[in-house]
Amino acid sequence: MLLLWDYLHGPGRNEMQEWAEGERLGIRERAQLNQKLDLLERVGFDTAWSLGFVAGTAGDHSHVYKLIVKSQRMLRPMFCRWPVRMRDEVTLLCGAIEKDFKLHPANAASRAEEHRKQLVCDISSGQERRVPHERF
Amino acid sequence: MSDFERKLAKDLSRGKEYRETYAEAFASEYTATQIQLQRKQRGWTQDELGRRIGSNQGRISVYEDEDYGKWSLDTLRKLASEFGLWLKVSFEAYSTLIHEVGHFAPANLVRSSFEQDAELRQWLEEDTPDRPDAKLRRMVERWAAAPEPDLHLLATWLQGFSLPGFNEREWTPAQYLLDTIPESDEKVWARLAGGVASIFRRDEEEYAALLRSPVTFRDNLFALARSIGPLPVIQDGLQAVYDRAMHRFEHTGMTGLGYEGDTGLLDAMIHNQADDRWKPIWFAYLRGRNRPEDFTEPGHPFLPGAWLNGMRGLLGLPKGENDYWLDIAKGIGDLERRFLLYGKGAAGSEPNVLDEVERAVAVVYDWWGQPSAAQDLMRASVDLMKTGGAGWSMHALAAWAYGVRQRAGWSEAVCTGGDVEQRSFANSIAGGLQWYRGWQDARHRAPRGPEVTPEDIESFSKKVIPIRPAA
Repeated sequence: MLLLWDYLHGPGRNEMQEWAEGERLGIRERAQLNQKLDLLERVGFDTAWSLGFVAGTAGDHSHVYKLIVKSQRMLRPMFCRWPVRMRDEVTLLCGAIEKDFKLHPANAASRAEEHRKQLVCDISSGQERRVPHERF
Repeated sequence: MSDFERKLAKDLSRGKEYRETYAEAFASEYTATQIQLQRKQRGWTQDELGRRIGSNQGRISVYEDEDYGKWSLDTLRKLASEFGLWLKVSFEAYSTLIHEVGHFAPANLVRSSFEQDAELRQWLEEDTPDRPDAKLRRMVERWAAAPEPDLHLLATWLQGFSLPGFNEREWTPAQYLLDTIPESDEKVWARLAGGVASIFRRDEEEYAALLRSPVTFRDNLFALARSIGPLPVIQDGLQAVYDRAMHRFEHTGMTGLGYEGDTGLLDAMIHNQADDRWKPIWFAYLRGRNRPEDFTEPGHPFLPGAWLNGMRGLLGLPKGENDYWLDIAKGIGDLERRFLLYGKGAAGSEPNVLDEVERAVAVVYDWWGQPSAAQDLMRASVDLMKTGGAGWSMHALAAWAYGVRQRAGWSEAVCTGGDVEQRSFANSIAGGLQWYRGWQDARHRAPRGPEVTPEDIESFSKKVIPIRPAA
């Protein structure tokens, strides 16, 4: 079973929760998002990959993946498998919505990559920039 | 109750709309995944399943999309019928949703068709209680008799599941199958070989979700392949695995098989050579690749081990080939030259040529286990010189003779045949042992096996040049 984490972009400031609030995710969207995250937590990354509900991101961000949630809007929370235990952990880095094959915000993947690098950097200096995942 | 179940129960209490959406999303995921897995379990493409139910690839792709959610009962019944299953539609309490989500695992979603349903068969056969191995034998025979043997069931067995009487402390799944199915049951073994080859031809990524123990599965798949062969169909399957591993290795630096998988693949390749397509791989092991001067360097980009595996690879070549012994003699010659060329010819060097060539010859003798191997090898070394290629130097001859001397009864058995050949073998042993003794003396080190004495050498010299009794 995977451990899910959320990225913090400041003390007590949960990136994913702020995204959900900012995008005004509705009840249906939250339910579908939670359902996919539950599944990812249960089956692990490799199986999720083979079942097709996680995907890589285009460009240079080979460590950043997106969860594919088809709801009223196409929700694409971005995550990485790092930073501490590759096989057992996933950290949600930032939220995104896909429309007409484009991510919104457009820089979601590079923003996720920045967050990932920040995480790795902070963990090696003994700080924690993440909290256990909070449900949407 | 686990934290997860508590968390989900609390979540579902948020309101009717929330829980209904959650349940709908999960039920859709469950159905779509089950369709996809049943198809993969049977080794069908989307196109094939589409044709079977009178539809097309595009529709199957839609049915396997967890967000589709609009399957008609009629479509689901058609799919069930094609899979050899029945369709259950059921109203459920929300507590079961929590239970289902908490235990969701793709491997639990696959179902055996009517013909392959082991539990059903057990009920049908309850009147005739059997020993577990007899039960397994019948199961495998039934599996083999199916028009399209169920590959998922074979994969399940190879992970140690659904094998009556199987005890993992006593056997591995592959051993258990090998012990239970008689060798004479050629039809079953041919179907098993076909099944193993079909699995090899498919990329593991395609069916990874169906596996509960991927490492056990890989170990036993390669072990079974190793024991069934050599067969062309398995060699072709292994070639597909090798090509995929090479492709992945070139792009990612990893084969995706893990160390045990790489070892299993190598072993299965060595023992499954119906033709000589892998001969260059084995020679590359022996000659060294990028840095022949480094004797610890792996002999292959991703297959494990150093030069010794090259020798094993040559030994696994099909014996029917005319060049079989010539290739082995050539391999020993190449190895000897490599050590000499890269500064390991002096008696004090570590490693040194004679020790290593001796190991190579020992592998040959152990592989065949009979003195005729030594005779064939010596004849081939002579042929090697005749063909104009580089023959053996004295180190290889000494290793050959010492190997013969070390094995009880081999010295006598080797010196048989016509008069000329008898003398020739005796001459080779005497000369080789002479050289070996000189080497031992120069090193001032105890040999690994029995020491060569002057009497040993003399006994063979007598066979070469009969000594007349004193007048």
